[in-house]
Amino acid sequence: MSVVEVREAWRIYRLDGVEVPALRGVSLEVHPGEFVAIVGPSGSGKSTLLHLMGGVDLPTAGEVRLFGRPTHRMKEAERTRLRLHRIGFAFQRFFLLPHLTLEENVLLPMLEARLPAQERRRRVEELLGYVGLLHRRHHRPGQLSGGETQRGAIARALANRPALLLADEPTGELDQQTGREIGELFRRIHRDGVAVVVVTHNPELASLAERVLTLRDGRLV
Amino acid sequence: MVAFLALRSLRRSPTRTLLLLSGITLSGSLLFDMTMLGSGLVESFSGVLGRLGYEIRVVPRGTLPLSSTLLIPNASRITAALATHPDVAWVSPIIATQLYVEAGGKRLSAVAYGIPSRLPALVRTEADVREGIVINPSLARELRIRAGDRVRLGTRLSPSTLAPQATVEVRVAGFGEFPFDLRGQRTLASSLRTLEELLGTRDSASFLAVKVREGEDPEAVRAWMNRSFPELEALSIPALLQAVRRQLRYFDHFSVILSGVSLVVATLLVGTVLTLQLGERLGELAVLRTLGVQRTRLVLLVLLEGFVLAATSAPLALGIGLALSEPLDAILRAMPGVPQDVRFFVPSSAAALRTVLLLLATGTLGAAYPAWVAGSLELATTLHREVQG
Repeated sequence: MSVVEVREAWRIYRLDGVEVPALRGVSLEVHPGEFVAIVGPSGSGKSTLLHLMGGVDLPTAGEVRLFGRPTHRMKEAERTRLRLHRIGFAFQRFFLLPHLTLEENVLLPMLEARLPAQERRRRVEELLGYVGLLHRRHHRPGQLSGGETQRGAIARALANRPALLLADEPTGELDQQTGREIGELFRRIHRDGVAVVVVTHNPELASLAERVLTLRDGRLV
Repeated sequence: MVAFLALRSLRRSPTRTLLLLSGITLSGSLLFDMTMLGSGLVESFSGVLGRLGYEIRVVPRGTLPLSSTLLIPNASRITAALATHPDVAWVSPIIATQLYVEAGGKRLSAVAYGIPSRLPALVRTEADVREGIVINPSLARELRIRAGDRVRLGTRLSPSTLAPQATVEVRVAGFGEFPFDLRGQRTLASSLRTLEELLGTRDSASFLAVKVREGEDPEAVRAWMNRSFPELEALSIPALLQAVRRQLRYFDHFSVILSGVSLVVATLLVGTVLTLQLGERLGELAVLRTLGVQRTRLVLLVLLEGFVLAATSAPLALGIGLALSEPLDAILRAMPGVPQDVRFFVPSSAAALRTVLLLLATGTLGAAYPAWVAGSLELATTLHREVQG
């Protein structure tokens, strides 16, 4: 069974009474443990596609299946639960909560998933060690560099051992060297069995993926 | 997670949170003062009336319950008749009037009570009015009289001679405290017979005090008295309190209006600051939703922030309210016509509890609008706008 299956998905926005299609009949499949990069110019619908693949948004037409289940048949609370337990998200602007320490940020999804305290402690150490930030666990995001913050955000995305990691322009705000390190981290996550889908403008990051899909004007080309 | 985040969110901007807490605390302290004022005055009066030692006060019908110049004629007959009720322990006629007291060439007016014997509810004293008059410290101080001195009591002044129309010489038996004294009031208690002689009346009383037997219902006795003596009005302590409450209703209105204002101010404060704060962290909330936090949990988070703000302010509000109530009470008690044992601001656990509950409700209510905004967040749109930029 594929992790994500997108079939003829359309997403049309209505802006001031005018219908604007962001996606026009996109179909794709992501298998467990696969590393896929989605590239394309700004406004081509990459982020919209990622939102559909994460159950954040629903297609206007067509179908998106997450772990075999069509998202339009799931209640919002179910999709939220699915994201909590099986999907991780990383963003261009990291969005770690600035008033929490790195450790607390990583802890948040585990608290929400009600993991036992002992397991939470063990998992936080394991994850911060995995992304090489154990020594920075008590620092706040404002005290971290861009690369460290993104690695912290990725650790948070992996908190509940997701099967799918979705990343939206994860290197967009990083210099080339740091972007390379983040790319290596994604490759390692993929090698460890997590399906990774990265939306990016960065060709170097895209080149690390097993499959590169190009979106243009809402269509895969 | 919600409680953890709510507590941490309030620490993200300490100065703003501190200012907000100060505002809620001040509103809360005013609320506490107004809650004390609303219930305190009546509680204080009920405390004073509760110490009277009798349950029913009988006055001529149609007069004011607490002050009247009219007398009840045939007091001893009525007293005896009232005492026949099986639930009545005793009935005591009392005269209350205004007299002149002369000593050392000085003449001053004073409130005088004529009582049959000891009546601790009216005057707290070791002395016995059958052996002379009992005076309060104000009268003693102003006329420089001591126990054992002799003074002259006089009735109203003659317009031609400017001398009292009737006088009687009495001995000062001792000093006493009169719980219903107004500030600076000169007061004395004498035997009923002495006042009757002086006033030229026989067998009359300003009011009758009725003590009901332990465990019996004063309201039933009162109803019987009103039926049996239509020319009189029997007022029980609850009825007196009702009368007091009616007379003091404007304090209630005052306290309700100011309480309302302080609640509205606190609600607006919480609502405004949390709404502003929410606008700054829509991206964060969208990310939390993306990470798997349910919509209802975000609503709860914001409501809890309002609740925590109010809960943090509550102890401070009670403390400041209590400290402020002292000088406010002193200002109001300095007004003329206020009995010295009456307090306007009476701290009570009920007033504190009511304040805390109102404050908590206010904090939560203030957070309702930002909570609604957080709950109705359009996830994909917000992510596009706030996160992807």
